[in-house]
Order: sequence, then structure tokens, then C-alpha cells
Amino acid sequence: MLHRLKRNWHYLVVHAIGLGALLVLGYFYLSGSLVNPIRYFVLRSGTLGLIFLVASLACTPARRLFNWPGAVQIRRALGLYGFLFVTIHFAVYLFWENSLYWELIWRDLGERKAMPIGIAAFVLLIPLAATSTRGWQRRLGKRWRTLHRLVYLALPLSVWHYFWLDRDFKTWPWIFAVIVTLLLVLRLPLVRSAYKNRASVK
Amino acid sequence: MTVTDKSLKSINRRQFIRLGATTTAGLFLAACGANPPTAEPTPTEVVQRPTDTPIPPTATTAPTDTPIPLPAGTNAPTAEPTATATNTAVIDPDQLLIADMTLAATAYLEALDDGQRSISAYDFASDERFRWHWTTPGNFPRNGLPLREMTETQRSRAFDLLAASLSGMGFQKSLDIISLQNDLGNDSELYYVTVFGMPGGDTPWGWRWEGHHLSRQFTVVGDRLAMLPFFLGSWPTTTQAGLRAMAQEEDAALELINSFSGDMQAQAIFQDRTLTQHVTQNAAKVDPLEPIGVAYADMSSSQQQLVTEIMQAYLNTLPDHVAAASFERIDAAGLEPIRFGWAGSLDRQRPQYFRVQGPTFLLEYDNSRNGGTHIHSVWRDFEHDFGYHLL
Repeated sequence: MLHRLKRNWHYLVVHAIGLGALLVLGYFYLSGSLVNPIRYFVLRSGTLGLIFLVASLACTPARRLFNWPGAVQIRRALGLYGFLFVTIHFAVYLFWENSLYWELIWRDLGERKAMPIGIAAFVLLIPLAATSTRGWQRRLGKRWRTLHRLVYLALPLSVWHYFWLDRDFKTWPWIFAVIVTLLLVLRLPLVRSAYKNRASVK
Repeated sequence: MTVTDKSLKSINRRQFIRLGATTTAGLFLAACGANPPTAEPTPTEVVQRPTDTPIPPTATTAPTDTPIPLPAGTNAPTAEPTATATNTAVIDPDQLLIADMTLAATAYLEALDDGQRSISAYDFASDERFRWHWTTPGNFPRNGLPLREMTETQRSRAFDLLAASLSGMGFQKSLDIISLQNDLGNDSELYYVTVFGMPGGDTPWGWRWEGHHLSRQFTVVGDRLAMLPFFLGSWPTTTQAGLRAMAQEEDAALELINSFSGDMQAQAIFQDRTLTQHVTQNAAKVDPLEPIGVAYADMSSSQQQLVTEIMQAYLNTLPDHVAAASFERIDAAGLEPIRFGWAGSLDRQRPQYFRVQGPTFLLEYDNSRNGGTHIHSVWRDFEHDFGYHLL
């Protein structure tokens, strides 16, 4: 038992953080202690979604840089938690904030340029979440990998969405932008082979 | 109309005028060194309408989440003009106010260097005077000099000018709205000051304070002035620390719509779902919108009082005698045709819109964004906006 726990500690950490974050959101939803619950849920779920998605993108470089195979094993869980929080983010916007009032949503999409970008990012993530199982991985074969490269588009769009929200101070969007750019640069063939060689020399 | 109705109407009208006029007159005469007015509101009236009295801009009146960007040395706003009156005979309060505003505007312009002045000052005839908006500077680039690019002294003079041009309540409300920017991650120093024409000369002049959710226009022509249109907004409507920048209008309107019984409420609600934005937007001139909702004449006295409270929340941001004159103008045009119309949810923090329209004015209040926690509201006058009637 202890051996199993020791071997799978990274799964436990991911689920503890993911479920813990869900529990916190659930607590605040049920407690009714928030003055602006809609704003709280939209902001928190969006940020959590972005953090998990960035973490899932960091798995492959982490495996190579730190020679840690466990990083790839938690990639799917991180990605799915990311998608879950982004779905909550989108659902709060659609159902709670705008009560599915399409006229209002349409005006918002036209008025705030960040909104269509956010929706585009969410739409791109849907097929990735839907085909994340081993069954779909088998069924799609090589195409699965190609399909899942959509995350390289979805994540920059998510950061762009965050960046373009009506805020003058953009410290956090900048931080996310730098991290995502770095993670994408690490995937460029030239850079990848450079640090692959370094890792093998070590 | 029955005799009872008539007497009720006359009482309401008297009350209506007194709401804005009594305290204003008292304060103004006190400033001129004269005796206080004899027609003081009764204690009961004061309890019923505590908002009649301008709220002094003390820290206790508005708990703010974060420091308001009021620079040190800014004069505390006064509820009445502060220009020295050497003669206690009849003095036009407009002249006193204009003298105050002129001094403050001149002091502001003098504090700027040439480069800043060329950014902040425009010809009075410039179309820029009518180019106004309430959204963030990112969405609607502003002309004029932002607080961010001012020195401490310049900023202090800019706030002095705002304080000289508004009532104590109006100044405090402006600070509250500005302080909400910190809550939103916005720069609370992105408020732009623009002066049109030369203050104190023989020609018309004016000035504008504008940024996210706050747009105030002032026009001076000779010894007359206009302080319309103006925009007030609030997001969020309540902060976690409990600040409510626009509580009075929100509360009074919700109380009013929920006070109507079946048929009357159905008449007031012209649309089940909220509008998606206020109708008149940033038009330079507006005409009356289609009359909708319940007429003031058909309301009970307590409901009429709520309409007055809503209007007070806006007009009492103006210097007291200007607010009183505005109430008198509305009354002279007739209270009966004023209509209150509603669209959207009847619950707090849900999307809603309401409109109060009379023969001379239009108030649009749109709280449809962000699940009913984001207010946009604008007060328009069909003739007095931008001082059209003076030019």
C-alpha cells in the first residue's frame, strides 16, 4: 500500500489540488458568503483553468528537463482538470451571468474583443477533452497527436483572452504569456534537440 | 382629478421642490452671511429623506477597499460656493459658483507646463467637447490630460476643480466610482481633465472630467452654466468591503418597482428581459424616448417619493443651488407626465434596466451586465445638455 502510494504520489497531488479547488468553489457557492458570487466564480474558475492547462503543457518539457517520467503520467489529469474549470468558467458566464439571454451575450461578444477569443479557445479544447481517453488514443492512432496539438493554439488564445479583458494592470496575464511562450519555445525542434542532447549527456 | 388628489398633488409638489431647494437655500444664504432660512424641513422629513442633506466627504461615509487617489493638499469639497462674498445682498448663486470654478480651472491650467496645457486645453468650439464616453480609456481613447501624467500639485488642482464643480455628495460619489477601479484591476489615475476655451474670459468655456464610469461635463456661458449630461457607473455594485457607490438609486428603484401591485407593475414593466445597454449611448443630443411605464400622476405619494429619491441620487451630485434649480425646472415642466419604466429582473443583483423620463429630462439606468452587478446610468436633458440652451 505504502509502496503504491509512493509510486503514485504525483497522481495524488494532482487530484488533491484539483478536488481541493473544486471543494473551495463549492463551499463558497453553498455558503452564500460572497458579495459578488458571479464575479468570484468567473474569475476563479478561469484562472484555475488556465493554471491547470499551463501545468499540463509543462509536463512534456518537465519530463525531458528533469528526466522525470511521472510528469507525462499526470498530463491528462491536469488537462482534464483544466478543461473542467474552463467549462465552469464558461457555464457561469452563459447561464448565471447572462441567463442564456442571447441578445445580451451577442452584444457582449461584439463589445468586448476578449470574449470571442475566449470562446474560440474553449471550442478548441472540447475535442481534446473528448478524445483524451486511451480508447480514443488507440482509435485515432497518429492523428491523435496531431489533434492534440490544438492545445498549442488554445492556450495562447486563452492567455490572449485574459490579456484583453478590461484591465489596466496586466501583471498576471504577462506572467502567463511569458510561461506559455517559454513552454511553446521549448517545443521547437531546434530547442528540443538542444536540451534533449544536454539531458542525455548528463 | 378629485379634490383630494389635487391637495395630495400640491403637497407632493411642495415637498418635491423643498427636497432640493430648502437645504440648498440654507447653505447658500449661510455662505453669504445671511440668516438661515425659516422653512427648515421638519425632523420627520429629515429622517424620511436623510439623503436630502449633502453628504460630507468623510471616510466614514464610504468604506473603500483601497485608497482613493486623492492627493495630499486637495481642498475638502464644500457643499456651497466658497468665493468670498463682500456683499450680502442678492447674489446670483451661479455667479459665485462660476467664480469658484473659474478660479479652480485657472489654477489648474496655471499648474500645467506648456506641453501639458496643449494636451489638456481645447477650443470651446472644438467637436472634442461632444466626444464623450464612459468606458475604459482602453476601449475609447481619451483626449485630455490623465491624472497619471500629472504632478502631485497638478493632480491636487484637478481634484480641487472637480470639488468646486460638484456638491459634497457629488464629489464623494466621484471618488467612490474612481476607487472602484482598484477593485477591477484598472488604473484609478486614468481620469482625464479637459478644459474647453479660456476660463474667466468673455467667451464661453467649459471643462470635462472623464474616465471609466464617470463623465461630467461643465459649460459656462457668461454668468450662466450647465452641468449636463453626466454619466455615473459602478462595477461591482457592492464591493467585498461593502462600498456601494450607487446605493440610493439602486435601492429606491427596486423598492419602487416592487411596490407596484399587479396591473400597475405590468404597466411599469415594458419588457420582461433587460435591455442590453442604455438606449441613448453617447449621443451628443438626445430627444425624448418613447413614453413607457407608469406615470407619476398614477403613483401613490410614497411611490412618488421614491421617484424623487431616484432623481435626487443624480441631481444632488450637482452643486446645491444647481440641483434645486434642476428640480424646479422639472416641476415647472410638470411632474404628472414623468414616467417610470422597467425591464428585466425585479431582484437585486440580477440584470435590469429602468428609465425615468419627464418632459425635459431622461434618466437611463442599465444594470444588465455581469449578472446585474454593473451599472451604467446617464442623466440627459433635452435642451440643457452641453449648455445648448445658453449658446
